[in-house]
Amino acid sequence: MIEIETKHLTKIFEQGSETVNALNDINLEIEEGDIYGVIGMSGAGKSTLVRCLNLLEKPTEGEVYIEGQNLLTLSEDELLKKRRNIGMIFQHFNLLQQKNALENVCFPLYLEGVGKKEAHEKARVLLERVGIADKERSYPSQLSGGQQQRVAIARALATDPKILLCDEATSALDPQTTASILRLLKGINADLGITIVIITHAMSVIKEICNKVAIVEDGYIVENGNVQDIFANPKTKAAKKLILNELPDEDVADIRISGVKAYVGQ
Amino acid sequence: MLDSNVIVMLLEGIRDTLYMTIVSALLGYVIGLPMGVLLAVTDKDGIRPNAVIYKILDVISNIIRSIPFLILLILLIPFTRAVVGKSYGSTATIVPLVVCAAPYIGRMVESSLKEVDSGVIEAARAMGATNWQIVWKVLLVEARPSLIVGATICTGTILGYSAMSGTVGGGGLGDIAVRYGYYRWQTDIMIVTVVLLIILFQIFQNVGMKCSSKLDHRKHI
Repeated sequence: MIEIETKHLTKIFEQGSETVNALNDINLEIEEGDIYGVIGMSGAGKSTLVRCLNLLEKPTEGEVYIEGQNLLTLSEDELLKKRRNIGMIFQHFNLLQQKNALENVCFPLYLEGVGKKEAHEKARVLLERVGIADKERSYPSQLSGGQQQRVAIARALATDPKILLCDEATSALDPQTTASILRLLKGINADLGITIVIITHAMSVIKEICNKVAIVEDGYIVENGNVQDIFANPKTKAAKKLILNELPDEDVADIRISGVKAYVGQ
Repeated sequence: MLDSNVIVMLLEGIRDTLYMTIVSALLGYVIGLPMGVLLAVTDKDGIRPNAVIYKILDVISNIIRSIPFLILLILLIPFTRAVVGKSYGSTATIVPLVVCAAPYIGRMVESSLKEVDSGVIEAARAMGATNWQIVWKVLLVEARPSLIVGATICTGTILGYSAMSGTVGGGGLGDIAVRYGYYRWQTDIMIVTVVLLIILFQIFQNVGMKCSSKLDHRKHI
């Protein structure tokens, strides 16, 4: 089943007299249970793309479908409700600094009018799930980056969403922490069947957990498909560049002679 | 100089000054807090931009803030009389103090709310928060330490202005300082009142700053 679909999605920003085409005719189909990576260089438009999926950014043209429902036809109220089915985590975690971990996880529940006791119970289960049950009384400033992202993931899961959007969720973390967060996301995908969309500029993230990938360059999707296929046979310059950038220099030299396929095959 | 009459007078002066300052600050916040929230919300980078509302509040607050307090005090005499029935004394002084303080408070609140990290607001939006919920549960919560600092500064300023109203019979320590120090050349009493004002100011300032840093969870280690 297709969980998220965009049709001819276009976003144009107007800054004074200048217009910037952040997204051009984006057509995506993300299936239920996918871990879908969107990769591109800085400024390619990938953050705008993920914000269009929950309408934090309103597309200039085109449509966004979540579970077959066109978000652009929803009323303000319906859209707010729909957003509760779509969790989101961010590069800088975006936790409430004045609330402790437990209250941060409770926040989306309070928005829905859930009572304190019930919210606390649920939040404790979620903190347990993300592996920081002992930190419920800690404030974000007392937590490491990885711990903060775990709180943010627990918060995003509080409303039992079917979709989790990750906007550069590991870009501010060191490699070990990144790996542990990615493992957590993978586990959530496997256990809860949540569809995950991951925005990143690091090919290693895609390689680690994604089953599908779209490569974004200058607001266009230049290539998309199964991760293995793209890695084995990148067609576009942008794809080759992103894949080669991940490799040490001598490997790149090798590949220039023997081709990318040889590297991936080894 | 400090006979029992003078001491009673000074104690009454302290009481009147506290009365004017605290009531004016509270009423000032009744008007200034919603005003500041509206300014922050309707600003072009706010959560619900509205150029018309922003401009109206902006102009009102700038006009009032550009009138010197002493002149505002005199300009408002007919209004004050209409509200409290007389134009002198501590209660009457509260009217111009509130009129003067509200736009200041509004601006302070606005700038506190604008310090809130836009990422946190975006996260709340992504969770389906309404604009009201963002104001109540995000902006006012996250800005709390800064709001308390603002309240401390505003209260200190109101305390100073309340003393200024002494020149037109406003009551409180300022009134005593003007009557004794200026009209009767009793410098000693004036100095005592000034010292008392300084002490009151210090108390407000210290309590406010302590509260703010105690309630700020960004600094815990």
